[in-house]
Amino acid sequence: MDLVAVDELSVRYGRRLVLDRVSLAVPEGSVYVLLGRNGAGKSSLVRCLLGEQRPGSGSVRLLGGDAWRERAALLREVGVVPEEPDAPPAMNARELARFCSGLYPSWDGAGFAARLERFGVPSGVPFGQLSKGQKGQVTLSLALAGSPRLLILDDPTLGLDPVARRAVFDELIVDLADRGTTVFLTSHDLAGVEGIADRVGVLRGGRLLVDEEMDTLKQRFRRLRLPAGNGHDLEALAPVSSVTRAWGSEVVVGAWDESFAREEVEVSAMTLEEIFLSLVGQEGLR
Amino acid sequence: MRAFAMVLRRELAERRLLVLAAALLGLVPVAVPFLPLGFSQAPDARAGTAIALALIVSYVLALVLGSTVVARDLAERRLGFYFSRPLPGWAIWAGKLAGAALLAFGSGVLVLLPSLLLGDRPDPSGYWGQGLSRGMDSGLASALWLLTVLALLLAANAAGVMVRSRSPWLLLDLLAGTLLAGLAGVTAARLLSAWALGALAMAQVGLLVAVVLSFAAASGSQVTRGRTDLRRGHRLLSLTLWALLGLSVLAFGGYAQWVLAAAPEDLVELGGVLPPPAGDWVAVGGTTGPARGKYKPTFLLDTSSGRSIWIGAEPAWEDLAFSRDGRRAVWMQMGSRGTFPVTIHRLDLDRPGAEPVATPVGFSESFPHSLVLSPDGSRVACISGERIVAQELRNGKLLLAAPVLPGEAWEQNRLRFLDSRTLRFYATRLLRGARGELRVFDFDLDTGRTSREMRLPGSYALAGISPDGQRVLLVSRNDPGRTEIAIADLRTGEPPAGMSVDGRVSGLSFLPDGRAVALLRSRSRSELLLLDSRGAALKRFALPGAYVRFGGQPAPGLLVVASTQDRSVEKAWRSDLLDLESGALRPLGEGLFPQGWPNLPVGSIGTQLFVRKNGGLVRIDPGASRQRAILHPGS
Repeated sequence: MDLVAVDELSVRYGRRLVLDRVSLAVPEGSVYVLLGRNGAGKSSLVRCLLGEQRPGSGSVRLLGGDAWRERAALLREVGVVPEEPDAPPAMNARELARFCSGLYPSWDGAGFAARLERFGVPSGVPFGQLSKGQKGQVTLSLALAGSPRLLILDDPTLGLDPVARRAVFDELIVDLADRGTTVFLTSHDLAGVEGIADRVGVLRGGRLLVDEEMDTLKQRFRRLRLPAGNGHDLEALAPVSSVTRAWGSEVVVGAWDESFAREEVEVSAMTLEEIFLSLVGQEGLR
Repeated sequence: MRAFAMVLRRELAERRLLVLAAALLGLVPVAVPFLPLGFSQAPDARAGTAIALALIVSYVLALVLGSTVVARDLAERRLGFYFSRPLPGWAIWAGKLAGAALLAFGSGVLVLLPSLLLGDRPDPSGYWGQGLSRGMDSGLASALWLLTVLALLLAANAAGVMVRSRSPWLLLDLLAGTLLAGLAGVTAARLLSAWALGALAMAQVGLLVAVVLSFAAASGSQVTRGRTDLRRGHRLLSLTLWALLGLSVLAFGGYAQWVLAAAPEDLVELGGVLPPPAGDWVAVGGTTGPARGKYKPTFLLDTSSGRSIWIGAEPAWEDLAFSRDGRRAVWMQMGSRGTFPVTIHRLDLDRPGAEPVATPVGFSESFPHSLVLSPDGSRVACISGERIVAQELRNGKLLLAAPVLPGEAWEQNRLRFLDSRTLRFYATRLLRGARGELRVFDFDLDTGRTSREMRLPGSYALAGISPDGQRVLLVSRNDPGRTEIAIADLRTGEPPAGMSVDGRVSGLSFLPDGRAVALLRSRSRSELLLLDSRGAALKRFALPGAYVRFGGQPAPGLLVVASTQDRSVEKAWRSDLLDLESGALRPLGEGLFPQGWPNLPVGSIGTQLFVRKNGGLVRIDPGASRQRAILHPGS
């Protein structure tokens, strides 16, 4: 069963089209990572998933229900970590937990306390006085304490230092291992998500350029170093970018085929970050 | 409801310090009587300070909390905390606003509490409440207080969202707000200028409720459908708000139109009828039903065709005059917003389909009174401020501006046109013995000068003026238990001649033929005294009933007399025709109260009009034995 099913979703803010007929699905038990530059439409998509933004057209289904119409009922089984930690500043972690405990049928208070302890976040300090990393950790702990079937995280590591980022992903990995929670995640931390993503989507200018399994994505992208003077027809390999060097040219292809392997061509695999940059990075550099 | 309660509890807990601050502020009124501020009454000082502080605290909190409770959370992206949880949108909206309302109103109550505990009963209709809630009981005043807090809170909430969204919709908000406020103001001014104050008060409360509901619905739409999108929320708020407020203002306008469109048939109680010396038009005034806020319009009514023209509110018969031939009526009318100048309007009654016309005659400084119209209907005169003023109706040309007699002792100032050129002014000074006097001045309107001045010593009250203005009926009660009645002929200037009678005179009037009638009452007996033109008694007739009023002469030699044993029962009056020769009484009917008086021309419409006990107006022609209903009550 797909816990998230987005079909032909379009969203406009006034005249500006921020999501253009986006379709994607997140099967139960998988981790979907949505990538994109700032302004690509990631947060708008997350707001649609959470029923905060009404789709201009298309549909958004969460756990099988309409995300806009049945928002409150559906969110009982969804944990949310927003881009900006947004709890009332006067409430401390204990009070936040007390408030949220009445909202989720499978509230895990002990798990919440244990996570806070692991993060080293004081439970009696008002939320507004916590550091940004601590705020993120409290929000993640609250999201996980509801024992959700689906976890939606909107760039949860934005602005965090490497240690705090690591802690967030470690906690996610633990939860995934323990309960097999389905995760929909947007992030700029490509190195961090590479280890946990099952499926990847890449948004550019409101359109979904890529939506596929992480493994197949990484298999079809390769960086080729071609010496000068050798004529190679690369059209069949769907070149994504090409840079001319003194010794020849460096080409990124998006449809690598082992049959193309040549002795004079140096072929190297690419990280998720490199693939992402080759897809959307050039645009920003131009 | 559980979700609502959770949000409400959360909102209250977040601002719990406000409750503490309000509780502390409540101690201030308790300390006020001990401060050297010159308060002599401790409970009054406490209660007054408590009320003032409670109102200030609740209104300020309503504005502050209202403008921030949703708008700031949205602008600072904190409303997502609620919306990313399984909380219905309505519970988020209702919980947040109910929390703010409870804090604003509850803080006011907390400020009031110590004073109440000390036994003070702040009376909103008393000294301290004046200007805030005059004439209200505590329950109604509290309800209005709560309603005002809600209105301020919701309006501040809407304003907060509009300003923080920084969207172009703000322009529409300003335009729509200005337009609707203007329309509501114009509507209120229409009701105010017609003195429909009851209807205005009802409409204001209704409008306040509609405003609160509109703001609540708009705010609800903004939060439940706009959710965390501030700009979209603003759009939804504006669309809902201006649509509902527009409908409310339209309904207000429709109600005002309905109130002001009241016709004579809508009067549930006739306040009075002013008949002309001739013609079929009369002025009628009265009270409409409670749905119209007991609005009291006055009309000129053509009794033959049923056509009516609204001429004002709250019948003031001194503000209206007919010409002697009954072909023209003039009256005073305030400006469209119930303000100065007061303009004289006229209606030519003999022209079918004629509409009222505002004449160039107007008064900007004080409300004139004692309006009279020349016999040919071309000139008006009245008393405006301290001056007697006469003007041409056609072009407003000032003919006379003479000072009224100075001093407070002068009373009963009256004006009468002897003819279109001569205006007569009567004034009496009611001082004991020879110190009292009647002064009469004639003004020549063609020259603007006094043409004659007369002085009649004696402490008389002016009880009546003959139709030609040349003789006056005077009454004096220098001796307890006796009344002196006298007639003075102003043409000769001779001392008043008359007679002394036992008991009280309850009515005194000239008859059109120059004689006079007086109603006498002593020891539950009523009599009618007929006097000749020099004031000598001609006849005396015993009348039934402890209380008697007279009407006019609907036919020659017959005078209408109405009587009752109990004048507190308005409908117990009966009317009879008194034969002035024989004293014989001929019954006209039970439950009839005459609307004319003896000096009206015989058989003129006023002499034949009666108010029935059911409130209707009927014309009875005894000569032809005909009855015709003019107005049915409240139909």
